[in-house]
Amino acid sequence: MKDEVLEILWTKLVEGGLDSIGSEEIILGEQGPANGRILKDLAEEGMISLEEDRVNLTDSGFEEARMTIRRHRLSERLFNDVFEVYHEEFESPACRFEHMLIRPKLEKKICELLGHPKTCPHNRPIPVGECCHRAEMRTDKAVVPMSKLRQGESGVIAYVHTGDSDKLKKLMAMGILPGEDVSLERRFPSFVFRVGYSRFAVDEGMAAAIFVRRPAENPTEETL
Amino acid sequence: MVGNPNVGKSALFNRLTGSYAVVSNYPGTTVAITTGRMKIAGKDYSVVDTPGMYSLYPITDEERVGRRMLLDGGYEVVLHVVDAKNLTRMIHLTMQLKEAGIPVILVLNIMDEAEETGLVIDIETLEKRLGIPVVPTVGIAGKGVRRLKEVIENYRPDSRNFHVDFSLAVEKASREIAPLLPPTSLSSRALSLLALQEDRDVLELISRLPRDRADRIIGVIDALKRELDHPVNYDITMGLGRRAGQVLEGIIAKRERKTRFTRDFLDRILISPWTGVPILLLVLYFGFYKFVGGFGAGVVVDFLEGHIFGKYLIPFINHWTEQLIPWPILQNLIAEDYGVLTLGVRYAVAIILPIVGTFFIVFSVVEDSGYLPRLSLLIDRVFKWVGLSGRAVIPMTLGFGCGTMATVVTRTLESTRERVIATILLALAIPCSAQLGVIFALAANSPGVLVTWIGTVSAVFLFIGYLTARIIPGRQPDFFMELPPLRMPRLANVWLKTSSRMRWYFVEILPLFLLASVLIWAGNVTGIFPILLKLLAVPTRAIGLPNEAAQAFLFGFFRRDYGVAGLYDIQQRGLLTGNQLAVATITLTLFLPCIAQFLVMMKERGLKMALGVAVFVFPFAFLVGGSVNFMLKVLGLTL
Repeated sequence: MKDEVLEILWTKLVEGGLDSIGSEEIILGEQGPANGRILKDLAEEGMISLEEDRVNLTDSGFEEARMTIRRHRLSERLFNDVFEVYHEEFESPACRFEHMLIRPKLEKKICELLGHPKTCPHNRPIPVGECCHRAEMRTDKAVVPMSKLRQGESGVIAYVHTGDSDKLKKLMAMGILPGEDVSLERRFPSFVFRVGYSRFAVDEGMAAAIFVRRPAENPTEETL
Repeated sequence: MVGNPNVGKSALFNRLTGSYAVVSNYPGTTVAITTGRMKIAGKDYSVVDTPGMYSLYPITDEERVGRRMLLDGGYEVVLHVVDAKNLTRMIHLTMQLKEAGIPVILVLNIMDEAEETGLVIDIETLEKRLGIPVVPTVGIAGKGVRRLKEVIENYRPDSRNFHVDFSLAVEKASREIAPLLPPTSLSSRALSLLALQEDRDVLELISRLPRDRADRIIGVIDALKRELDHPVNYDITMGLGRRAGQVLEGIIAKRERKTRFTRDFLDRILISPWTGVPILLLVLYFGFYKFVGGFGAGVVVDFLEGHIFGKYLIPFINHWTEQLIPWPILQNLIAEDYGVLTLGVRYAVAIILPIVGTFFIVFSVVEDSGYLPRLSLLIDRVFKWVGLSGRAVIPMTLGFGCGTMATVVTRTLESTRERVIATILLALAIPCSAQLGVIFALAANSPGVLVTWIGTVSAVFLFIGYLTARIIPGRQPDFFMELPPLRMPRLANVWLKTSSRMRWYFVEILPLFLLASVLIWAGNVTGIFPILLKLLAVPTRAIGLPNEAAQAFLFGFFRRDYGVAGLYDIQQRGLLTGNQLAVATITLTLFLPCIAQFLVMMKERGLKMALGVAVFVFPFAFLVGGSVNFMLKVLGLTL
């Protein structure tokens, strides 16, 4: 599959920070021979450069791989957050589903539905799309870290994202989980919020790890 | 008994056993495990209360204590106590316990608040779905306790399994390692899930297995970690959350909530900095300065020390010792200036006890009302500056009562780094209530002394805190805390709490006071003390204090409060000017912690750390005292 090869290239080259990789890294295992053919095709299409068995993405290849990864991770988010299908279970349907997102309008809709997520369920970054940019320009984004909520605002916890698993564990132990209703009562001197029938106080660092989906304030904007 | 912090476990414990454990409205104050006896229908039970526990997977050392007990076994039934209004969240642990094959009864406590919130819980259906007995209670009022005892008496373990589904990857890994794990009181499935989350204790169990078996298990854990890209814990919590949703489906109904205007208003003004800080100052002024300093250290001490001891007991003891014991050396051991009765017992009973007692009354009221968590969030930003989080408000505030007790309570802090910083600050810059009371009494007539003292000690607190936070490696602590609702403190509870703390303090300190006065006597008799006093007199004079103050410092070495009490004596004799008083109180506050606190520091943080603090504090106290003296002179101030 062409997409898979592009995804591998993206994770290794862009996210892995390598200058180029050997083509043998892609022509491996069962898929090896097929991947070898795909590499040649991609080179013909001008998506990759193939010199002395070193593979690199060209500018158009970079953009293509970026969008492929975006569609892939968006579908993962969709299956995880909306359909509540988890993990290995969603790998294959998500894979098939991502091809539907080639239609830009659908991709945009899904991205909006999910509140322009920043990461996939595996905590890998989702490349930013047009709609995300536009959403960011608007003052109100659909999903924001709690540290950006205004005093008195409420929403639903979309996901908890933090660089360190300790913070995640603490938040989860307190029952601060995706899907819970949350309302922010106070921002200073600490963040005070209500989840269920409990109230919590956290510092700014912890509040920044809790991402909250704001209720759609202006439904007409959704249909833009 | 297990359960989240602040669900009223301790109150329920008291109701069940009739004996007393310190009950508080603050997450995490039950540090040690408390055991009590309970009788049901002529049969004796032993009830064990554990520190707060959020889940089967512990994060803090405190939680670890309770979990270790679950692992070790030896119980007939585990009472999982939850806050009924937060059932959705707390049922996670119930399910974990049930899945682990632990015989469990779910106790829905604080039922009154749940009802007030308008919640109605279908208990029968809940019992059926979980396959365990569920009992509603109001621990603090004793409601439902009789029924709970009946349920305990008739408890028969339910052998039906309770299963929580996790993600495929976790399920697969769990099935792979479960048969390889050693037997414990937990089911092998529960143990395997803990192993996958790399629980410290379970990993240790694994490391004791034969090498190849341990390696296989570790291999599976590592493979799962690589596969998942996020903490295994996340999958487990999500799985529990889904299962909780199934179990609770249609069980909780919500009626209109009664609005509690006064409580909401109070809550708001307590946590807003504009009103919260003035309120804090009011609490400090009336609660501590007026009540502890004025009433405890003033009125009560004057009465006991000046009247009872000074007018009646001391002359009486001196007279009879002279009559009965012919040898002056032994006379001095019991009576006269440094006798066990005239110094040791007098200091302990007439000076320290009233002060500590009044402090504990105030602290218990403050603690029960739910004010401390609000203070934590108010002060978190300031505490971050000294490398602590708002959570450290408990040990720090308790430190104003008794530094020894507070050093033990630093266990509730999350990281070693925080515990070390808190220990240092407690030893250095937090005066205990005994010191505070006497200092307030000493400075009662000279506000200048009080201001200089407060200013210098707070500056030292911030400065040393700031420095240690920069020096000790590690990251800044996170602040997170549940805010319990404000509750009206109950008189009976405050009294129980105060009296048990006073008893603890008294039992703990009286022997030390007696020992200290014996040591002082021995030091005097052998001639070591005069030498030490001469040595101490050098830095004492250097910071502009009279020779007599050296004695207060030396006694302060045995107990910090002992030293201040000695200072009180000196001042009563009119030997100190205002400036000297300020310098002396500052130096003594910063001076070495008392023997008890030193021993606890050694126990909690190790000998090296305790000695290190001692070596630093000694010259530092004199250095600060000297600088204050110098500054006052340069500025030409007389306090």
